[in-house]
Amino acid sequence: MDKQDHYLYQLIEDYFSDDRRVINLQAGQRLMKQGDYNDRLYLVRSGRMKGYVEHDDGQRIEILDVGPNFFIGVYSFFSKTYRSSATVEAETDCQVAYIGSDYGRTNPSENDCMEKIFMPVVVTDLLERQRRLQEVNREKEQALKKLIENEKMASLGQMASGIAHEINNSISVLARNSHWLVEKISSRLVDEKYGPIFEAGLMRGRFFSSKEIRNRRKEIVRDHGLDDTNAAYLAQTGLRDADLNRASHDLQKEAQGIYQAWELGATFHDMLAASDQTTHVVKSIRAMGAQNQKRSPGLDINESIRNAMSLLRHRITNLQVDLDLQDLPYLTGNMGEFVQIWTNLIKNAYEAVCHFKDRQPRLSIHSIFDDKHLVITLSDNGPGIPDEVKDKIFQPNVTTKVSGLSFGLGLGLTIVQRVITDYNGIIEVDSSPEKGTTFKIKIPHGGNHGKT
Amino acid sequence: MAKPNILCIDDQREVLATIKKDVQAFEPIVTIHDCESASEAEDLLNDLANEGEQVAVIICDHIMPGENGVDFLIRTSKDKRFVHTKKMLLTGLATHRDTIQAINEAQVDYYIEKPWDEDEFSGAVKRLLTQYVVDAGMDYSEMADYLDQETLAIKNE
Repeated sequence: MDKQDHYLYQLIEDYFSDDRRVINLQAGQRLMKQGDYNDRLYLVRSGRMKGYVEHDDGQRIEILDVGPNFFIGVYSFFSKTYRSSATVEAETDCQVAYIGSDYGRTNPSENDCMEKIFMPVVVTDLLERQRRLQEVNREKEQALKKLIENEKMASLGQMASGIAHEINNSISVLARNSHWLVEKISSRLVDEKYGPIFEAGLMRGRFFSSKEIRNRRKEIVRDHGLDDTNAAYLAQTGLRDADLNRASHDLQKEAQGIYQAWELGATFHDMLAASDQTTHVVKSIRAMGAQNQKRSPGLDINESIRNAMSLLRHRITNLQVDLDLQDLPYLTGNMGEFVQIWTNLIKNAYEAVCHFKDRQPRLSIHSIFDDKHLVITLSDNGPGIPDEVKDKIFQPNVTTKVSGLSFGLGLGLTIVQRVITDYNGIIEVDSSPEKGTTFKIKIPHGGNHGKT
Repeated sequence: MAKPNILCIDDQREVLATIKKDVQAFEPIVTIHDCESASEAEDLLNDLANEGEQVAVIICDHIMPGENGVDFLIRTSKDKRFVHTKKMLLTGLATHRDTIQAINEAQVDYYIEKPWDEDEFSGAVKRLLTQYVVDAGMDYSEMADYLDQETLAIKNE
């Protein structure tokens, strides 16, 4: 017991141990009313009491919340106004002891002494009120900050979805027409000499880096005896010797023609990739702004995983995906929302493992029902999430993707978490450089099992 | 006579390919190189300088992983081997400050925003290329068809 406590207990012993001056209150009962006469100083013996200040507009603000060994009425008692500054009620069943203003009047010397004795109580009370006020202020400030932030996000969301809508219209035209052109040109070129070269450009795009192209150019000059310009043309295509020899017997003469057929294909490849990427970005932005997606019963989560896989198939060609999908009960939900969850997670995994060239990129997706939850795990064998972003991967604007057409908005996981939370589910992440990254999603499911 | 070189730098391969397409009109009189980063471009510049090649124009993206475009161009502008080399900054996301820095410190000769207009782009490349040919004192009799006549006219006044 420290000095201060000792002092307090002595004081309680001296002034508040008379069982004749005790009141028992039931929870909800009022001890004093704001503005009413009060000439007593109370000590809470047991239970909790709360004090409120009532404003003219009827608003009640809590200013006091005290338990055993705290005083009530300090202000009215010692200021000698004898007016309650607040309304005080029992929060739980309480017992309070009290002294009256006439206490000690029969013995003036003791009375003088009493105010001195109670000085620490008054100061402590004032300090407590001050602390409480500061806390309230701080809470208010934080609430205001959050409100402003929400307001900002909301107007940003509205603006973003407006922009997304506009872009979406244009990109649909570009995407659709690019696909149409590809089909037309492919079918025209199919029997042509350079048909396969066009296809190679279209399917694989520019998978050679500028450095690799320079090396390949030197190789072609050396092995095929081409001049530098023509070798540069052929090097860009990334075609191997066998493909080149199949396409032409006179590479020196046909280099430019081969390059042009390939470039046509590669250009379409770029256009399709760019429109895909834009579509994805637009979708993400809209999903951020979208609320109340229509939900219907009979949703099979496994099907949403398969849908996501087929949407991404052409983008994740060298990723080995192991699916182990056990029967799951049907859910009431929105297919699109779940497809979006899986595409985001699968794309993240793909991008992580592909930057990590040491091993065959692998992702395993596992789903199971554990009688209460649908549990879906996605594990990759990538390099893990960097420590500096680990704690904030679910926040917006956090991205590890900085370059290329795979640049990120940092919205992916934010959307994922938001949707999962919407279904009362949880998402957990476990990541290390050795084991890779595992996302585990648990979505609660009560009763009515429909087999899938 | 050896052709002058044009160097295109952009970390995004698809964008790099479109830049190259728009420079290809000058292919008869220049050699085009492409790089995916500033460090790769630096290596290539060293190789070219060692081979006694002339670097006429550098077209460079700003936001790239590793060294950014403006910093790279600042360094290049201080390199005595490339005093006449013309610099073009091509970017979609440069702040006001980046731009000011590019002009003041890197002495960028032309600034163009993504997505660019083909005519504006090739017009700029043409003028920069011509200015280089003039500044470096090259014999341009065989390439005059591809050069900017106005720039040449000013020179001949």
